Amino acid sequence: MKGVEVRLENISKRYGNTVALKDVSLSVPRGSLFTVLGPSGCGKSTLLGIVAGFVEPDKGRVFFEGVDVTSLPPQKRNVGMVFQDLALFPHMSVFENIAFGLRVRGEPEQTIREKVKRVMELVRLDFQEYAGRMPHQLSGGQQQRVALARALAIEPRVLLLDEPLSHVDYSVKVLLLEELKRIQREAKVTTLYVTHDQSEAMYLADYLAVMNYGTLEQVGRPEEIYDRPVSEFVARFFGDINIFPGEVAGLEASSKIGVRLERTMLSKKEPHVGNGVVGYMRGRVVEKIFQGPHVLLKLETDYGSVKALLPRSESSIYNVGDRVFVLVPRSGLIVFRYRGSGRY
Amino acid sequence: MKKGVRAYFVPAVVFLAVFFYLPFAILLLYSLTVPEEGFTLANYIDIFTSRFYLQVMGYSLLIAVLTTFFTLAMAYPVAYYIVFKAPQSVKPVIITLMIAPFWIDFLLRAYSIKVLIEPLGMREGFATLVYGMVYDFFPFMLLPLYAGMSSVPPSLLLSARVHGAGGLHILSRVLIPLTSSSILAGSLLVFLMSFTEFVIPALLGGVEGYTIGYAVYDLFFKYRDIYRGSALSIILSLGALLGAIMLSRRVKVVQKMLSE
Repeated sequence: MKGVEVRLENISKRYGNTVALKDVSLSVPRGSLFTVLGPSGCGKSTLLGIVAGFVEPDKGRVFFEGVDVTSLPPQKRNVGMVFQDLALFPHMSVFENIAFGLRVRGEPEQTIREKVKRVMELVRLDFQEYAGRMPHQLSGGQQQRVALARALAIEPRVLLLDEPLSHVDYSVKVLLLEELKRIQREAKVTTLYVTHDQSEAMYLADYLAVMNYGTLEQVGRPEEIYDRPVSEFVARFFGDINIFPGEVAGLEASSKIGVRLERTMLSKKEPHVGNGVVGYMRGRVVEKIFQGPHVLLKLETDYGSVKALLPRSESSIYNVGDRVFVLVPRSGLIVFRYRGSGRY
Repeated sequence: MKKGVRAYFVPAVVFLAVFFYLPFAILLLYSLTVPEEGFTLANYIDIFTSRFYLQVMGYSLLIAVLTTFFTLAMAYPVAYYIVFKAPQSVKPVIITLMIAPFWIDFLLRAYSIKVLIEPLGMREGFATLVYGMVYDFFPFMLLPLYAGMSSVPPSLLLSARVHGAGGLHILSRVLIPLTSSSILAGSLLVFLMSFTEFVIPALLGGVEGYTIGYAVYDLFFKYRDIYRGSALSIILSLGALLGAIMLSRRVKVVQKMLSE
């Protein structure tokens, strides 16, 4: 199995008066796992439909490995897809579900059997035990594996995943994310993974696109986007952040400044400005939330509420009601310029 | 069944007992009776050994099969369109239009077809009879198909398409198997109604309108042979019952698959 490079050029799509996608261009490197992250209704599922071929863009073109496939119908694109509801065929056994794409391609029985066996091995479903079962006899996690196996059996050029883990329990989700990552690496298939869950995106993505209102706000590696988000929306959607209205010297337009929770420092003594600290504010601890290795402190300050994420060992000196100073460090300071329409 | 549940069925059961089970029992008794001979299976044996009744049954069967085939062939694509293609706002309009003829009395409809066929260059006979039946029974095919298709998630069809299936494969491997119980329900409904129909053959069939329903009518009202008439009615009813039992088994299996 080998994936192709997927490229979208100036894709636009409207449904009636609703703009689903606005001039979206995107390049997914061959064999990579590309995650599209955004709130519901941001256009990410439409994007997937356009790559799969069952949504026709109003404008723009889709390329697989440099070849224009925009007008190619879905059944000819050789794409594998896992749907949000999995869409397993309820009247077919696990074997027949996985074999579906191979059967309609008219492959010989012997080849079908071999390929189904191989792909079941890849997703770690025991052939002897599960091949003959019906979908309703499987657990949620096993159904996920069958859906993935069906998508991979046809040796797709692109694998598309539309929020496949939105209906599974947290513990199963963690396990399946690990598995998905392994399977994607082993199959080396170019993968587009759509989700609204930032933790899934963070865990999986080689590359990440954050979407909002039908446009890509930012594309990059997860660390880049986390450390240098281009907008307040991206910063808030991909991780949590404290944002203050700030006048930044040297910038003409009004702007805001942001600091990630784990970069927000606290002190009981009044700090000096300079020496890595660009400013501070007075505040009071109003809530202390235990989060395993970290403790989340919620504070009220002169500039509104602020959150700070401290290692457990450092959090013990702060208690609810304590008066503290909140420090804004130079490193980790993110500046958001005004972008018009009330957005930063 | 719990005691509390049983109470809900009382009115319906009482109604059925008085107006259906009792008459049915009387019919059964008559069918097993020959005057001055007492209880016997002679009526049934007569019917099953009579060339005439076997031919009428065969003829009615042909009409029923054709009617079922045409209504299915027309209703299936319409149901597909309504469920998967029509804009949400148009769906109720189409369904209403499709069942609109049913706001008009059954007899009136049959008569209006009688009026219609002349300008169409048709005469009373076999073709007109089938046309009348297809027209009348179309909604009985459409509604079960519509209900059945509505329970098929659209993502199943998308998934089939994405994984390489063209229209024919989607139909034969996904849509038809998943709607098989509705196909059966609609077909059985239309089949039974057209097999036993009396009014349409009588009005539109002309000399080619002698079907099993007509034969029952004749036995009762023309020949005053309520014994054979009853036997023929019982044969029709038991056939229907058998079909319904087979169908309900099949429907349960598919429902189970879709719900889980």
